[in-house]
Amino acid sequence: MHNTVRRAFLLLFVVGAFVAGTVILGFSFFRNSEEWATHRANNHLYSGGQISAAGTIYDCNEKILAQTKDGKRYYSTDSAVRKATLHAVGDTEGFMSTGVHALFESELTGYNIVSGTYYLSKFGIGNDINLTLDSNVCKTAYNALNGRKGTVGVYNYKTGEIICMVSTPSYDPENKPDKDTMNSDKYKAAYINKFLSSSFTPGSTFKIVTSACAIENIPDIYERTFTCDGELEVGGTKVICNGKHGKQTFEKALNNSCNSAFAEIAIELGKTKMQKTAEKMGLTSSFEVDRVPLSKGTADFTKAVDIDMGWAGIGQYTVTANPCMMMTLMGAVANGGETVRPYYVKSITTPKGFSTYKASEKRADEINLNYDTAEKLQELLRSNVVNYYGENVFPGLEMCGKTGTAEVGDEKTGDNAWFVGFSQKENFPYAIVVLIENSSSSARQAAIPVANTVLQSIGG
Amino acid sequence: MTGMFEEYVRFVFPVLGFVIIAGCVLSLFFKRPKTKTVAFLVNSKSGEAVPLHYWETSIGRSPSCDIVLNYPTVSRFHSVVSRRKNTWVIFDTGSKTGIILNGQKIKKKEKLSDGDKLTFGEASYIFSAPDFGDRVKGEKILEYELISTTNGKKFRLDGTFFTIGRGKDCDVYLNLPTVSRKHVELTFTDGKWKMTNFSSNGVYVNSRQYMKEKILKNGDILDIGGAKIKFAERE
Amino acid sequence: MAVKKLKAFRYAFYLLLATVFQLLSFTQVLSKTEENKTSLAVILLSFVLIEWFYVIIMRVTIGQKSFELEMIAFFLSSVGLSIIATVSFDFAMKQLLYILAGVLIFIVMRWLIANSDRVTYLRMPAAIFAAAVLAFNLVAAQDYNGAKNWVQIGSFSFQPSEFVKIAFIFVGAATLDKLQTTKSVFKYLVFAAGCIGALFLMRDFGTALIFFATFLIIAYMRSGDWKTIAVICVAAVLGAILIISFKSTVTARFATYRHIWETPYDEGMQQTRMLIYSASGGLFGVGLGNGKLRDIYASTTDLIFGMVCEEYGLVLGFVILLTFAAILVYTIASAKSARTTFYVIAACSAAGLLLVQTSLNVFGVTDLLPWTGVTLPFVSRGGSSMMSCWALLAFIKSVDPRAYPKTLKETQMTE
Repeated sequence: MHNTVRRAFLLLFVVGAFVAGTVILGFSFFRNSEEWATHRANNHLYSGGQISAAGTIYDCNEKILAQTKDGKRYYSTDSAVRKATLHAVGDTEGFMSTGVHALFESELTGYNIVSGTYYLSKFGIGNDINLTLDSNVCKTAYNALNGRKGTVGVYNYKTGEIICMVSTPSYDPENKPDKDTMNSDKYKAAYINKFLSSSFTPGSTFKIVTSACAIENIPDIYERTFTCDGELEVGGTKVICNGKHGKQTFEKALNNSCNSAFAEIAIELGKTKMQKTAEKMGLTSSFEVDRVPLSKGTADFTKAVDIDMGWAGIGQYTVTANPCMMMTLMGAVANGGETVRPYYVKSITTPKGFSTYKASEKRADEINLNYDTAEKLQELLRSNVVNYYGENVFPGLEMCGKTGTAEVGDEKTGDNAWFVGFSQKENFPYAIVVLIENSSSSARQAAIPVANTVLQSIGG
Repeated sequence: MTGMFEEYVRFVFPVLGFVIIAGCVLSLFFKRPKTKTVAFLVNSKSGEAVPLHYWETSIGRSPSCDIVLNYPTVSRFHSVVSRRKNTWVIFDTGSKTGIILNGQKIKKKEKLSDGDKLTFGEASYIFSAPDFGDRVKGEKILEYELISTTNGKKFRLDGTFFTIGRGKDCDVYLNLPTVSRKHVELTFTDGKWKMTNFSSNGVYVNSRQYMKEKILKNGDILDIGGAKIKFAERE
Repeated sequence: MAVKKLKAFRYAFYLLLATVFQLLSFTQVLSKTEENKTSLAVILLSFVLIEWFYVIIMRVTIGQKSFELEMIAFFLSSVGLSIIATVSFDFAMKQLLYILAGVLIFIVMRWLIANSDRVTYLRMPAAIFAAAVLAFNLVAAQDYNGAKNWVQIGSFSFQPSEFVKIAFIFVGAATLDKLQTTKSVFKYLVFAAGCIGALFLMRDFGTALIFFATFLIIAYMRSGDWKTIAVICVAAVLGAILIISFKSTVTARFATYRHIWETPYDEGMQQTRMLIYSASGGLFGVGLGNGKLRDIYASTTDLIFGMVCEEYGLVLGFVILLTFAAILVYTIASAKSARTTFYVIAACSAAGLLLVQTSLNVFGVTDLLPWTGVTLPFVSRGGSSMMSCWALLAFIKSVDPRAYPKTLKETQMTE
């Protein structure tokens, strides 16, 4: 008898295996329940694959960007605002992985493993989310782009609040084009927020990086003069300039955006120093803007020969940059080297008014800019506006900035027109990036008016 | 109203469910039945009593048997003594030398009664289960009990080893300051009950103080720290 | 003294608590139903009556004092019944009858196995019964979701393999004298191989696996023979691999294993919904009758664990899971007080069977193991399953000698 009884104890292994299974199951519930519950097939939260019950999304002026009424999801009442804020707010069908709807799904639906979807399916409300975006400014930016593809971003470089984030092509989520239209060229990459998730050839805006590298590595850069005769010959091939600038100082060369001069400077600096500066200025790094990791730019000069460095110095070669990172870099310059990380989700509030999340100011350590370089870049970029673009293109804004026309295709497709810059006005601490793809006109003609219109609309 | 009910009752379910299940499971574990001696096999030569704790007891030379008889004439799995509803039964589980019950070799199984003589190979035992059989066959095995002279409470000595003292783990628990934690041990050896003293005050048996050991006889009165207990044959 | 007396009535305390739980559940269920409200109320109250009747009758007739196992079974049955009642009135009515039948079988089984001699005589007939039932099943079965494990007689359909479970343990367990005379498990191996083979032919892999696990438990407890069991295991695993790799129909059944999220609208439908809605329940559930898993196929049978998690909450779901583990631990710990090895083997293998079945059900639908489609003991809807679970509980109950009425002699001994 005792023998049989003793053998029974071996069954404790079965119990052990079962308990282990239960623990694994419990753990997987703990870890995945949020993902599972917010699956589109969950009829507690979705109907017909669309979020049916979720909290309201507001802009910085408490204007409604998205809300649930009678089990249906509605957006802003203004069609232009709907299009302008689409990439920030996101769709409810799950095509946009970087919108608030997708990223803050469980917060919006109010799901947590403790209360499940109980309160939500009972009261039909989740948590509310307040954004830092100003729907008016976004709308202005969207209209200013006027059907052209591109992106506009504006943020407060003292606090980090993004007040404008527009990416085009966009569409009206309440009146979405049919599938075929969405697949057409007109709506190419419509689901992507270019501001955060794309990188583009920076063109002449990269001369800011070349300048910073020169300031730090060539002690007599301000004493030097550069002669431009329309092109620079390097080992048999040529870097073509946008004009014949003749003899010019470093500052003048930047004003003129002289390719010959900057190619010469870049070749002199060499690939190691150039690459180091590009990395220090964050172009090859990434940080998260409200759970979205920025698309990394590229600056890989390891295989570059002299002519390549010439092209790299003027933002061509294989160099790419992310628009948000460029804007943040402008913020860093404006702030004297102190970089505030941009964000657009201000706070999350439960139905009972209890705040579960409040954005706080964070540093972006990915950009390392020392004070002296920042000061000198400020002067140079200010000089660009005062001496070259003209104060009248940014009336009353005390702007600093740099345009860039990046060659990306043949003449038919046009170039990418950039403007990056910031205002030095004490009570107007905004940095901006404007990127217009396949622009038929130059950056100065295309991007600067957009930047001005957007900035002028702030606070208005 | 139903909404309110639903909102609060959903918290009640898991709590109540947990309490019910946990309570039942704990109760299952703490109220488990205890094993107790159900019969004895008393060695005919030495008088040593082997207690049977189960309703089924295997006997044989194999160490996995409940009672191990290490004799060459005993088979590895010799026999099973098993209690049925109202009887005891002995089985010959394919032994070589067989089982002799009261002088007769059994075939496969046979009923057992109190006092039956059993021989497995060269080992002889007397089966003792006082409540089964009419105690006529073979030797009489006596069972004793302790009776408190103050309140008449009885304690049956149905094993081979008992302790008496103030310690809670003692079989007979006497809550008197004059009683030691473990005062007395009672052991059943060679067919007799022996008392062993462990206290500093000793034990008085029939008013005589004993500091070491004493073989107990029917009717002895034990004085353990003032508590008077009678050692007597069971009626 | 007062405390001691109260302790003796501990079972009454848990009976009361369980009744409170059931009445609250039933109130919630009734508040969610519109049609047949009165009839449903009668059905649900009948459940409470069955429970009370059982306890009172057992207390009075055989003086039983420990009701924990039955209380657990009644509790689990009531959880299942409540959920089933929110889905369909018909289901609830049938489930109540199944529970009643289960309790009656439980009582009969307890009486049947109380006598060791009777048990010994009945083992052969039980083996023949099992073989006959399985053979009949193979001949008469209807194809049901690719498996042939259902038999229909008139309007009454049942799963014969559920009843074979009882016979399987009955035949496998044995008293010590039998164990000592027949050391080899060969005969039982042949019987088990026959049963498992028949289940394979029916393509009821879940039950086949349960039988195999039960066979291993019984074979080990009978013989303690490690080597033979290891050989059997290896042979079985090889056989299973052969079958799975050569039979495309079998392979197809397990194709979604670990890939359910790739086809959430096709093959992975049931399991993904089960996880989605269990997670939706949160710790405390969305409330009885408010769930969405109910609309999914097999929600009250295979997926009932998901419905418990969704409507009663994850806490209760996991409490139920651990209950089955606790029952097996209790059985192991109580084995030494059992009267005969028959009870030890029967109780341990029955508790082991229930635990294996629970694992296959719960870990199967949650995609931790391949989904084989077995029921969750006591909770799932279904007559055959409910009755066999109660019968198996009788085996577990038998480990405690106090479960039997006292014989005259015993009464004399202890008083």
